Amino acid sequence: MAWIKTEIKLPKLFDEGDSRAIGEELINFIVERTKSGKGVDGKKFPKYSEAYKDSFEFKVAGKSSTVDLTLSGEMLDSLTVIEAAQGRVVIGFEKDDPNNDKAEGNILGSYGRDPDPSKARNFMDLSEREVTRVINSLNIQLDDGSNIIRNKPSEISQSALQRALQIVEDFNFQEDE
Amino acid sequence: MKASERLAELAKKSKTILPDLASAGAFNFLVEGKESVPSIIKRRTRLGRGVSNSGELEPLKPLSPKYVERRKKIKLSENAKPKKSNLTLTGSMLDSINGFRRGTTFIFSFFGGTDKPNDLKARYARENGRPFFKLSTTETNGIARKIKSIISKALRQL
Repeated sequence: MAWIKTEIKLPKLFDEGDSRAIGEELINFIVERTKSGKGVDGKKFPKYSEAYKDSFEFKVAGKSSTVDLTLSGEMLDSLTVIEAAQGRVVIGFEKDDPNNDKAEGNILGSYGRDPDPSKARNFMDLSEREVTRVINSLNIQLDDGSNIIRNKPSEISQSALQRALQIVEDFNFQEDE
Repeated sequence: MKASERLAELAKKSKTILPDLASAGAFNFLVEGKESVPSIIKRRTRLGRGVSNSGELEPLKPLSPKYVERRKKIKLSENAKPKKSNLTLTGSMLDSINGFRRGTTFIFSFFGGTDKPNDLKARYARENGRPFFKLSTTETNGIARKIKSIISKALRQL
């Protein structure tokens, strides 16, 4: 099984916690970009084949012709930060995650066969411009000695995650008792 | 300001902004549209997958041969096939899953039902080894990531 992961170099001012938080933002960027039908730098993915569009799975999943690499959504939901350190982060799938195979099929255009560049949808690729855009969106403020004085990514991430998990834990699924 | 003080301040701010974000519709994606919790459950179940007790995605238990034969003789919904175990005969149970917001709490339930109440059908499915009306760990992670991103963005703008 291939191990699908991407290493991104970041400015050295980001410590391990910040790099991890930025990695999570980059995953979010990749997921949203992919769901809008676009790959690196906004390039559209190759269209789905007619056979796939006619399949039962395509119909029951309520898919449209937008190539969003989402059937159940499991592959994109499985993206995670694999490793973080000062000035670098690795994002991708856990080593033993079966979604590595799905991702490889999309990236190489192989889908269980030989690689076909005309069907390749490399959703994991990130350009320098995109990474910069994500970092700029974090609205970080530095003092003269390049220390983060406002919006430290790890701190924002920690607080936001706490609230996000609280919302999810409070989900109320009501079924006949 | 020390890191611990900044964190305490952020914790306070994040608690305060939550109701405002919810009122402004920032989390409406949880109950409306393609990325909503009801849509995730419907789509995954129609594809034939449920959620185990440990939160793993798993194929729904196959249909019995006798039931498959019965399904071959009746008109099925467009999302059903005789052999496909996806909790879809007429499709009404899955169609009826809905979500709404109360403050910062999100409630998901079944509405109506013609021959029998849809929530009763769901209970029957669960009791017969086809649990589906919940989120898997992976689905939960994906949703939490999106909510977190919204809260992070709001915190950065304060």
